[in-house]
Amino acid sequence: MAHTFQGMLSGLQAYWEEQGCTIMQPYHTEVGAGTSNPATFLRVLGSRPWRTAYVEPSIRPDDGRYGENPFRFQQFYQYQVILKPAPADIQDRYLTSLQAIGIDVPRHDVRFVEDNWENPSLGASGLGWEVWMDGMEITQFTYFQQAGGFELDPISVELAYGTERLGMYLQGVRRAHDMRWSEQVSWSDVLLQNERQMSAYNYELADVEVYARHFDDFEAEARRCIEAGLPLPAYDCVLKCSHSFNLLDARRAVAVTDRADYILRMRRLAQAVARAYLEVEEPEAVA
Amino acid sequence: MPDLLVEIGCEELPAAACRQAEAQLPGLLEEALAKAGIGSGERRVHVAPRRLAAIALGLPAERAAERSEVRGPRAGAPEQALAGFARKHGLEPARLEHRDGFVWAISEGSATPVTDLLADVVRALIEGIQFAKSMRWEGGRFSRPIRWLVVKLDDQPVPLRLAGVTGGGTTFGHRYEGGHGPVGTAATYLDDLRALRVMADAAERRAAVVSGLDAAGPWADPVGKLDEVVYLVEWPVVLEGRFDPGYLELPERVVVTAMQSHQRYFPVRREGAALEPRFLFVANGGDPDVVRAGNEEVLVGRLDDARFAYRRDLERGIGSMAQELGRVSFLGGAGSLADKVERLEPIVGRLCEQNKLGPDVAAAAGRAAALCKADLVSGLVGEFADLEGYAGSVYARSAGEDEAVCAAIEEHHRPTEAGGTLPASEAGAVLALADKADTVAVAFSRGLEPTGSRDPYGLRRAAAGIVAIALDRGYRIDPGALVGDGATAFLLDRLEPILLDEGVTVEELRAARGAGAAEPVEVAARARALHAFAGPARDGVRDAYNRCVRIAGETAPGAVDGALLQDAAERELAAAVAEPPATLEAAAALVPAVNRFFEDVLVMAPDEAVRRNRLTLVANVAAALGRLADFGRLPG
Repeated sequence: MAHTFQGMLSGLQAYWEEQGCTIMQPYHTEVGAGTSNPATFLRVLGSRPWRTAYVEPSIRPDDGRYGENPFRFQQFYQYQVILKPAPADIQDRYLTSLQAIGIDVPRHDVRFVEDNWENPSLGASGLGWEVWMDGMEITQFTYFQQAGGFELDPISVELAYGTERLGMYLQGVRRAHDMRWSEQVSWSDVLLQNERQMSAYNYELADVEVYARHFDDFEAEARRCIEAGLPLPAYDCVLKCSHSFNLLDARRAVAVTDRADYILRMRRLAQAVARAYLEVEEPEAVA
Repeated sequence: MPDLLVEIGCEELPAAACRQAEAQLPGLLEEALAKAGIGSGERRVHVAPRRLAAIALGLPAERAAERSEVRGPRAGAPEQALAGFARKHGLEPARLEHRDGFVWAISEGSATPVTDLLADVVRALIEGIQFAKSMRWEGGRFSRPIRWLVVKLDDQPVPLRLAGVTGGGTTFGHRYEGGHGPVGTAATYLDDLRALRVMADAAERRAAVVSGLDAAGPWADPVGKLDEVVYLVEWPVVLEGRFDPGYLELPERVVVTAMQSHQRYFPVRREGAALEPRFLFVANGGDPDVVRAGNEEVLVGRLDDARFAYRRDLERGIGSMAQELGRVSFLGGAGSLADKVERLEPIVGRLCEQNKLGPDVAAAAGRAAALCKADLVSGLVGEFADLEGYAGSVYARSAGEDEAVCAAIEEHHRPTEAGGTLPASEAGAVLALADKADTVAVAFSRGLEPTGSRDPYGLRRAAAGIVAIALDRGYRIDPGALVGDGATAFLLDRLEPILLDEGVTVEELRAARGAGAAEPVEVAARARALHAFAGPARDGVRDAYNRCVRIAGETAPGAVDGALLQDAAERELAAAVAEPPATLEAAAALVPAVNRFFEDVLVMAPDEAVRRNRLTLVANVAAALGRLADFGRLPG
C-alpha cells in the first residue's frame, strides 16, 4: 500500500486516472495552490467538460519555517483534482480515493466540515468543506461558483489533498521530515535543504525592489498579451505577478493599505484573462 | 386524513444552515399548505446534517371542489361570441346560464387529490429557505447539493422530480454505518432513521451529546461549541481523549484555546480545581480506539506547538518582544507598532489627568501601554491569535510586572464586539480607550475611514469601544483632540446602538447631538434626560422652540434693549431668559412665558426698532432652549 510518500501519490494518480482524469504534470511557474494552475483556473471556465488530476508544488513564501516546523513549509505538495461537471456521487468517489491509498474509512471519523473558499486575486470563490479525519484536516473540497469574475456553469468540483498530512498519517510519523519519500530516502533528504535555503531567500534576501518591479513589468506584459488575443501567455504573467506579490509580502514589504491595491490589480488581470480565454475558446459564451 | 413526510437529503449542510432551516421550515410548510388549500393539522420539523424533514399530519385527502361563476357577454350577443365564451370554459353553449341580462359559465369544480398538490408544496420548501449563503449545482440552488428526496403520503411514495432528484420512499442513513433503506410513514420516520444510525432530530442529538458529556466528567464549553457540534454529527458518540499532564505547565487558557479554537474539544475541569489532562469530543462513528488516537495526536500536535512557542516566548521575555515592535507595520504607512506605543503613553496620561484618576492608575496604565502590543510578535499569538492580550499579560506577570499592569494588558482589547465585556480595571479601561482612539485618529487622518459595509481596520468596532468604555466609566474625553474633528461625528454615531438599546429614540439622540456638545458622556446624558422627560411638558418646550426658531428666522441672538420692551408679556419673557435654563424642567417652566408673549405681543410691530428688538428676544429664547437640545428634531 502506501508506505512511502511517492507510493501514496502514485495511488492517488492511479485512482483518478481510472476516474477518467487527464493526468497533468506540475505547472512550470510558481503557483500558490493547484487552483492557480491553468489546468484548473482556465479549464473550469466555459461549458466544456474536463477532468484532471495532478500533483502541484504549491509555493507560499510566507509559510516557510526554515524546515524547523514539523508541517509548515514554503513549498508543499497539493494533490489537485478537478471534475467538471461535478458528478452527483463525488463525495463517495472521494471517500473511495482514501480507501485506495490505504485508509479504512469506516474505522475513522471522516467529516465534511463547512469551509467556504475565496481567492480574491483570481476573482474566484466556491463553497464546500474541509474534510476532517479524526480531527485532522486532510482535504479541501470545493464546488467552484466563480472564476475570473465569471459565474461558472457547469459547476466544477475541486479536491485539494494535503499530501504531507496524509503521508505522515499513513506512515505514523509526527514530522514530515521523518516521512519516507521512497524506500531509500526521506522527506528531509529530498527537501530539507530546499526549505532552509528558500526560507532564507524569501525572508531575508529576496530583493524587494526587483520584485516590486517584476510585478509592474509582468502586469504590463499581461495587458499586452491580452490585447494581442493571447490569454495563455497573459495568464503566465499573472502568475508571475502573484508570486512577486507573495515574495513582497513575505518580506513584509506590502503595507496593509497597499495590499488591497495589489490584490485588485491581480483580480482585474485575472478577469481580463478569463474573458480573453473564453473569447478564444467559446466566443458565444462571452458574446 | 393522510400524513405527509418530506425529507430533503443533502450533502453535509453547515451547522448555521441547519439552524436557519430549522427556524424557517415550520413557517414555510404552513404557508405552502395554506396556499395549496390543504392547511390545518399538526406539523413537525427535524433537522440533521444531511437531511431536512418536514412532516404534516392529518392532511385532507383532497382539496374540496370550488364552485365558480364567470360572467360572459350580454345575452343576445352574436352567436359567435357566446360560442367562444362557452368553449373557453369547456361548456356546450346550451349549458350557459342566463342572469341579469348576461350569460354565465357556472362550474361546480372538482376536488383535487392531495398528491397533485404536493409538488408545489415541496418546491415551496426547497425554494423558500433563505440560507445566509447558498450555492449552485446542476440541480439548482441550495446550501449544499440536494442528492435525494423522500416524499410520502402515508405509506405511498410520491415520485416528484425536483432539484434534479426524484422523490421516492428510500432514504440514506448514516454516511458510514447506515447504508440506505425504506422510510415507512411520517409516524415511523424517526424510528426508521434510528434503524439507519441517524438521530434525525436535533433535540435528540443534543440530549445524547449532553448526557454523554455529563457521564464523562465535569465538562466546560467556554467558546460555545456544543451548538455547532449538534449539527455536525448524525449519531453522536462522546469519546474521551487524554494528553500528557506535562502540558498543564501551560497556562490553562492556552490549553483550552488549543482544544476549542478550530478543534471542537471540551475541556474537563471540576469546579474550582485545575484542568484535567483529558478532553471530551463528539465523534460521528468509526472505531473508537482509532478515532480517539487520531484526535489525541491532533491535540498533542497543537499543544506541542503551543508549548514550543510558550517556552521560547518566556526565554525572550516581554521586554525584548516590545523592542521588536519597530518591525511590525501599523495601518500601512502609519509607521510601526513601536510608533503606536510611543503615542499611547501621552494619550493615557492626558486621559488620566482629565478624569482625575489617581497616580497609581496613571502609572499602571502608562507601563501597560509600553508593553501591551509586545505579544503581537510572540510565538504563542502567532499560533493562536485568540490569545492576543492574554499572552502579553502572562509574559508581563512572569517578568514581575504589577498585577494592575498585567490586567491592563489583558483587558486592553476589550470590548472585542458590540456589547462585549468591558475592561474590569481602571488602568485597563484607560489603556483600552487610548489604544482604540489612536487607531481611529490615525486611520481617519490617512483617509482610511470605513466606506459602506467595508471596514477593514475595524474602526466602527474601535469607536464603539471608546464610547462604551467612556459611558461605563463616566470618562470625559475631548473627541476633537483624541480622534480628530474629522472622526468626532463618526465617534458619536456609535452612541446610537447603546442608547437605543436603553429605549432612547433616534430623534431624542439627534436632538441631544443637535445642541452642539461633542463629548460622548455629555451627549448621552442629554439624550437620556430628553427621553426621561418625554411627555406633554417636553412637547410644550418643543413647540415653543419651533415657534421661536420659525419666527426669529435669520435674526441672530443678541442684546435686548430694555427701553423698547413695551408689553408686560415681553418684559416677563426677557427677564425669564436672562438666565438661560440649565435643565429641561427649567425650560418647561419658561414655556408659559413664551406662549403668553406670542398671544399678547405683536412681534412684527410697525416700528422697525421695536420689531427688531422683539425678534432678537425671540432669537434669544430659541438659542437658550437650543443649548439643551435641538428640540426641532423631536417628532411633533
